[in-house]
Amino acid sequence: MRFVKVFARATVLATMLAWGSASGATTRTATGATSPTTIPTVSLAALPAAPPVASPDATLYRAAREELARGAYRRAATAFADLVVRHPHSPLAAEALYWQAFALYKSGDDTESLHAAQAILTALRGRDLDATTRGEAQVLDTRICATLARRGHAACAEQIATAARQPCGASPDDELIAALDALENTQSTMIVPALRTVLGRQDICSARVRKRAVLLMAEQEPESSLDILIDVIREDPSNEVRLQAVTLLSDVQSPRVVGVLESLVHSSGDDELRDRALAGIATSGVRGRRTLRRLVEQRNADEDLRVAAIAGLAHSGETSEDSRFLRDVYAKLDRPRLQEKVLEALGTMPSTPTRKWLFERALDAREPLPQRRLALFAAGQSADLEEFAALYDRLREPALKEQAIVVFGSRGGPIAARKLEAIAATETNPTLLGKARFWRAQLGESPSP
Amino acid sequence: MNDDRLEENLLRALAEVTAPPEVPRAAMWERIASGLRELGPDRVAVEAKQRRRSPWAVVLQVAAVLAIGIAVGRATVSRTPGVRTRIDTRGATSSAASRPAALSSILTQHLSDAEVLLTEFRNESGAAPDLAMRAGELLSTTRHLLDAPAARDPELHAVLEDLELVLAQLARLQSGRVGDDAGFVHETLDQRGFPGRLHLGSDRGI
Repeated sequence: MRFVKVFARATVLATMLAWGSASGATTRTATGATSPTTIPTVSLAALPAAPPVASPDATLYRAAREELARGAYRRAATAFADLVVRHPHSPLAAEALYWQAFALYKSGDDTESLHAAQAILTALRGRDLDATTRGEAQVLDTRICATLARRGHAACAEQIATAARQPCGASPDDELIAALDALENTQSTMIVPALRTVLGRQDICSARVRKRAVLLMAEQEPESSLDILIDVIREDPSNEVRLQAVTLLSDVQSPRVVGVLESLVHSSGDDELRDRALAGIATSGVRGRRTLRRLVEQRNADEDLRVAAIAGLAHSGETSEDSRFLRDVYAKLDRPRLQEKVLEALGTMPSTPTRKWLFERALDAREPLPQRRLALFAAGQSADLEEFAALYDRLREPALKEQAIVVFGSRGGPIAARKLEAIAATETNPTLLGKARFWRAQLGESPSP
Repeated sequence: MNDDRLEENLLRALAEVTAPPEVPRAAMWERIASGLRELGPDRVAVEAKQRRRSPWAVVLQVAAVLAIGIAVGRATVSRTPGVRTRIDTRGATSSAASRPAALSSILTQHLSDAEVLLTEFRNESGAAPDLAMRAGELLSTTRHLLDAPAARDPELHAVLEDLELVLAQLARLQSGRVGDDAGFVHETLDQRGFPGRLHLGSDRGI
């Protein structure tokens, strides 16, 4: 810790000395540190395309950037400070200062380094900078302030609160977003009113800022966030913002969420929004899964919706009950595409009863061939390969045998390799023979004896 | 002002740069809020609530449903079996499974967007006109994710930390100044293993 303090102080002192030698006035930062404000004017916009290759300042700059690239942040901060100290009037000095502050911020979250970084940023912002650098310095400063405010630094907390209450458009989006993030990170009670203001001003707040506000709002208490998110879904003019709100709604802990998502599924004319709502339902526990099952069975429901509901059940995390439902509903489904989706879904829900059921479908001559192939493939994803090899010998249709060969090839391992060799040695169908040889060659290593 | 005087001022300033005394956070925010409230009646309505930082609280499930689940329904699995079409269930079994759905979805999308940007930068000799702007937007999201309570998985955190460094550099690439600056970014990409690390991150569902 002692080293950190010495390091941070020495770094900022050296830098300030170099930059301040042409002036003398000081200004107070939000954290109470003072720093020189009259610094040689450097306009980044006026910088040359590239620093002179062999100039001493360029050499130092390169060395510092190399340390930065390595992630050696303390060494990088020292190296950037060295450049500024030795060449305070270099056209690279402003750039070096920015990166020095960045390196100090990245070097750890010790308070000394953060204060040092802030002092440098304050000095840097006092200069004639291009808009990009000015904005980035402000964003970095806000981020550092958030860390300090979390530690109870009142001046920083005030700075963040003031920045977050700026109306949209008063500063670049990045700065407002950084302030809102900071307000959230400091666990401020002011975050909800600030977010509500942003989301209510669709006329002046950009979609990007509103999208971040939605993200932050979803992290608040349900009683604060739910109605606001619902309003966003209903009223926000940006499709992107609405989608973000639907996506995040499923993470809000409230019994009302499933109902809202259900109404969106049934009433929204926007396919993407509907899919997101459906995905949210799938993560919403028993009630959500019951909704999905109802949808799968509804013959008059949109087919895409039913397909998505099948996929949602497959990924809801509750495999046994849902896989039983999918097995039972399979024969009742009125569309081949839905049957195919059920088979695919069951392939992702491995269990002994499901595998047995898939094997039965694959061997059932009354089933259409495409469904039998899919069932075979789905079963093959998790089947014991010895068992699957035995099943191969019961297959008669070349299309099914070909499918099984693909399974062996994709699963790999000694059992699959041995079976492929056996098929290659005995198969008379030239297509299957070729497939078996091809997949055996793909597996490479010899099977164990 | 001569150098001695300046140094004296700076030393005094640096002496002030010490850790501030701890201030109770709730009291601090209450005071700031009331101060701001005085600025106007409709300015701030502070909610005196007990905040529960939970959001990403729920657990489970489904970046998979969002990123993969619906896709399974619509696209992921080939409808003509015969090529390798193993259904991707990684979202349901990886570390993402323990992360709330929406955050997983946002993380996955973010890593993917970053990978696209870095790959574009890698493959192009000059910086695309909108590259710095896109990098700036991704940088902002990266920083948000770095602070997200549920994104504190050490491995993910390390990826995001390094991504912040790369994006901060890319965001500062200005047209006409890409020469050496672009070289520094390439060097950082090499040193930090990008964009490959992002791809691995996506594959693992982090």
